[in-house]
Amino acid sequence: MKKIIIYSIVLSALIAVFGVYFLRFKVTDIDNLETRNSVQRIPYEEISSAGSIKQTFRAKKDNLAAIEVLFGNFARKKSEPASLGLYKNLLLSAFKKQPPLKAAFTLYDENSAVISCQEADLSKIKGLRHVPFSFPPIENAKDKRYVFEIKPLTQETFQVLTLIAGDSLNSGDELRINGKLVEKKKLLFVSYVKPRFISCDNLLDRISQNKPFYFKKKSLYVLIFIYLVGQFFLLFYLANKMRGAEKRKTKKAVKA
Amino acid sequence: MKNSRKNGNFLIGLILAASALKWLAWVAIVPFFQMPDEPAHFCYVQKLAETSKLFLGKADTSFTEEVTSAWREGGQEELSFSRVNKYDFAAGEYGEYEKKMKNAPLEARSKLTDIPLVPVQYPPLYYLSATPFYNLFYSGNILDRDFAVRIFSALLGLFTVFVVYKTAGLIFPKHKYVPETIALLVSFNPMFTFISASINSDCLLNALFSLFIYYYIKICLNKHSLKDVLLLAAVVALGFLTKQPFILSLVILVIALFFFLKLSIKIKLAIAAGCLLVSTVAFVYLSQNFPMPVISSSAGQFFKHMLLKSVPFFYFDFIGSFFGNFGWLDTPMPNVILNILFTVFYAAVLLFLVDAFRSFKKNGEAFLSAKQYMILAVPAIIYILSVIYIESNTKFGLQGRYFFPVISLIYSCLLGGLLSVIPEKFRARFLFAAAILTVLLNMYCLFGVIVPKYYL
Repeated sequence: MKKIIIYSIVLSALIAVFGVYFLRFKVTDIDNLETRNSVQRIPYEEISSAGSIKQTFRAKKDNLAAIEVLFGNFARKKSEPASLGLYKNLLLSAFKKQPPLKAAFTLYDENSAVISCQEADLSKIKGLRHVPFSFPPIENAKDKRYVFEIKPLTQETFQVLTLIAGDSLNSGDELRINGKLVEKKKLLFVSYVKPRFISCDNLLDRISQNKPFYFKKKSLYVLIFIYLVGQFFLLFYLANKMRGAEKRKTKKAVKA
Repeated sequence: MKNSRKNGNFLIGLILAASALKWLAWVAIVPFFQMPDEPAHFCYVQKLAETSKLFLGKADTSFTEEVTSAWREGGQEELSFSRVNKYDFAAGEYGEYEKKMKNAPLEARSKLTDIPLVPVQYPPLYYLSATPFYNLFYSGNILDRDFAVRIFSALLGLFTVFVVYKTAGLIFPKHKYVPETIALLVSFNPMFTFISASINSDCLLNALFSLFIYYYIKICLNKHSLKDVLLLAAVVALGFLTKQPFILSLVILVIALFFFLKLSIKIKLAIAAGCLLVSTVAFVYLSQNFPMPVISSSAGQFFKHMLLKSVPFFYFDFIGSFFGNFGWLDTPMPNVILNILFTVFYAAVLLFLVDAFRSFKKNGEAFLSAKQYMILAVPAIIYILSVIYIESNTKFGLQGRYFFPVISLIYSCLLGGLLSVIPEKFRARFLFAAAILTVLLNMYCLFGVIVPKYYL
């Protein structure tokens, strides 16, 4: 028993020391949040390879590095109109799809100059999924306008891939489907800034935010350490019991 | 024998101590208001604590300004239901909105908005019991009070685990380590941990229903004393003051009465009539404040919903929301783990059914006796079918966590099924291996799923 207690404390202490001095966590901070205000179903025309979806947005921070767009792929009968989705209260505009579905993603700056262009394979999406598009970080992006465009590259069939939109809170955010402005609507997407690495101390700072005074950083350090000791003690005890059970069986077998 | 009991007591003590630490960590790490309906349940506690009322009236059916403001301006709204959104973190220990929150006026705690508050339709026992924890930090900000109530829920979770252990002890009295393992598997089920760390009347429902199941099994399997019967009645009464599904306890009791208890038919009929009377009174008099599940769909709609939504749920979504889909159902476990859990869960169900069938055959060697299986299966089946029935009528949306009130029975059946095919010499090892994997899964969910989702 003493051994188990010592092992648990030593292991927890080692993890704590390693965590505090050596461990670094990769964080990807958000630039634009995904806003889901009043998502509702509005019939809209399908997007073939001749059309596209364009979304304008304003970067809130420097080092803009990636965008993730929410796509949905739901089974649809041939007779159903393109705007019909299985998800209630969502605006659905649809790409016609023929696997493998490919789309071109292009990011423009405010002067319509292309910053990045890439091809994405969207064939494997099932249900709802965020699809990331990353590009070299744009250093002085703060307060500048950008446009991203999604353009299907494949032929038409009856399966659909959908994009989802909600109310736009910023007057400058424009959504255009096949060139037409969709008033006061915005695609469900997030934009990220360049990933960076933070220490364990910084991570605990983040966990402490929006927490009561008794769960602030210092208490969290103590709590997590005691938590680790408790869990490791339980694990070692169970492992020890398992080994004991094995030994007892072997002894019995030898005796027999 | 004495040594073995001492070992068992030490093990359950250790499980409870480790569970308490685990719950504290979950309470502390899961972000503010990022648990299902937490703002609404907290608001109910707040209303009772601020007004010293026992029951709320129709005038109280909306959110308070303090909760609404913390939800909207504190960045909680954007986090909920989104798999990608995160806080806009400030430097240091204090978030931007936190500084504002601290200066919220006292009137905001009772000033009402026009946003409807759904949980007010629930009976008040959980919320009343939580008010001392709220009042303990009355002078503090909303965060101090919210997390204090979370700790109260975690204590209820701990109590549920102890009750599950006692229940498993009744079902598996001769099987070494099985009751302790069932208690551990329940306690370290990531979703059970998550829900029991949240502000939700389900925490008290789970505790009381588990206690009801304990007395039900004790009375059905052993010789019952008057004390047990009175305690069972008290638990049912408390359950009625906690949440509507407790009415199912009466259905379970009536069935048990006729099939498992040796009483004269007159006594059986008298008790059944009493149960019927209580349920009628509950339906008639309580339905205004605490609506009971009633038939609201046509037969066609009912069967359509049941076949297209309720039954497929057990294939598509049950495992995810029973074992771990955190936040506002926006933070699931990785698919690889869910697939493994799916396979193990349904294999155990199948083995349980095979073993239960074997127990009914003459000379059939089963892990548990036919009577034990019947006593286990009846309340579990009644509860599960009733939840499906209510869902098919009211279409509230099924989730795995709605089955936690019968979690002691679910885990007993599953473990019984699995142990029935494991040779006796490997059983202890199997139990410890399952326990170790569950503890590791719980740790992974906290540090590998929740921390990255919200903080990295």
